[in-house]
Amino acid sequence: MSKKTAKVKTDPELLRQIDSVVASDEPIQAVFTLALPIKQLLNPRTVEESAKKLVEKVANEVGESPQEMNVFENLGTFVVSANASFIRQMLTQSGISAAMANKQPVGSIKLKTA
Amino acid sequence: MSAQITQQMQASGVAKVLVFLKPHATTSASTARASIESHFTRSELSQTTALAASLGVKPSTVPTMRYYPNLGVALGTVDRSGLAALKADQAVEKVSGAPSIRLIRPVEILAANLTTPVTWGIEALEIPKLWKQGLTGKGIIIGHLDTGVDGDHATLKNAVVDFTEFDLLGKEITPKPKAHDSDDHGTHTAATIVGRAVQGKAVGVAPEADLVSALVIEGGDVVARVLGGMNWAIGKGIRILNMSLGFPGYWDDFLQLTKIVRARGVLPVFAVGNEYAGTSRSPGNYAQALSVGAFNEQGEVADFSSSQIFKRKKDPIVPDLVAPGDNIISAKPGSGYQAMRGTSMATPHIAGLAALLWQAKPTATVNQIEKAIYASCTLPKGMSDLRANRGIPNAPKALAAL
Repeated sequence: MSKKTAKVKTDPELLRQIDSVVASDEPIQAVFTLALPIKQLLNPRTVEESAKKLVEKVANEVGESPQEMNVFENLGTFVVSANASFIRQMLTQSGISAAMANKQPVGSIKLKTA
Repeated sequence: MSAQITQQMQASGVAKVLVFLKPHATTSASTARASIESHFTRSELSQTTALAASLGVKPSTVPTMRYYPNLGVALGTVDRSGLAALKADQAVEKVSGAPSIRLIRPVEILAANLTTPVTWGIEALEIPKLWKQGLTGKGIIIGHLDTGVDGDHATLKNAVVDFTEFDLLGKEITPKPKAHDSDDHGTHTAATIVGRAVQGKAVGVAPEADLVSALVIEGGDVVARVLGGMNWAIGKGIRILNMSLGFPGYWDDFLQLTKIVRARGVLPVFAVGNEYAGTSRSPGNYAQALSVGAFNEQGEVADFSSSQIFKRKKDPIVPDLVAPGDNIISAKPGSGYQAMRGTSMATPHIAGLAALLWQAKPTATVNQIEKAIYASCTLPKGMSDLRANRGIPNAPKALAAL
């Protein structure tokens, strides 16, 4: 998937995972940040409702729901496990400001204890 | 075979891999574990073996693999035959290159005994002067995201008021686990923050503060686990978030999260990294974080302590300050103590200091606590501001500045 078609700030690793999926139903896990004003991001209920609404919208658009979803209501983010077409469609949503791959491989970013 | 595994095999004949077990295999975890364990090797080239050798631990006692039963994954080193065997093993769903979030041990770990009433780090910041005023962190909750924590250690008895772990999607696992450490890093940092005195000896800066601890680093580089920990800790009413971990380099993926943490009234105290001058890690290198470097007993910036200059108006230099981070004695899982070096060890000193200040002034904002700590800093003669920024904080001065 080219970076040009992504409408949100997207982690290159996520794009790579989307492009490298061989089987169309192989799940990809992606973390999404909601594009909301900070005041709304501080409201857990708003975060929860916004995330679920977005996921529902995309599910209707692609005809398939994600396999799993988890909302981090105190952080304005959520994670989904879904097939590539679902994740691609999420990246076109104006309600999303950023997306990154949940699973990061060696050589990209490395979360380490200090 | 993944590019990562191929590269490692070509370079050294071994590769570090993460093995995902088939779901049905995890229902008989011991059988699955036994099945795959023989495929792993105790490679001389592995970091675990090298570290063990440096500590005088016999190679036969070094585990060949680390198994995470709650996640159904195993992490370890394999040679070519071991890799082939894993791929053919009926219990295995997938073998991939070892992901990026894995525990990287501190710069050095040494066995140690605490022979003084307090550690040199606590003394250096003049923390006991606040204790004498009754400031011990009582009533303050601190969030601790790390490898876990040994809640049974004598110095942490009654200190860990809540503990949890997360699955790969950042959901809390059930049943709720007992506080434990998947390594020893988390126990060490936790005890530096809130360790209680044992037999007249203290390793903790805020010995009456409460710790909520989440195991967010084990068995794989999964962002959602860290997010789960942050999310959970905020929900527990923390005032301070200690993260002695980070992504080498500058990655703005956690920038908005850090802003949210602050907006929620939580002071983000993050390690800057151990990759020497000219480097730093995110989220410690954000202007929105209170980033902590390390200094040693000689009053010098520790050579490994990261530092970097960014082209931005606010807080261009990271770290924000330096704290004791060399030869820091703290709790070892099981019992006893050990010394570690790293900005991981420095960060908990500041998290604990913030707790003392917040006890003194519960209505203080995040900015006020942070400013008081900054105002207390002194840059000793000979210490470069490019390496230490504001320098070394001082507890009584921070209290006075509040």
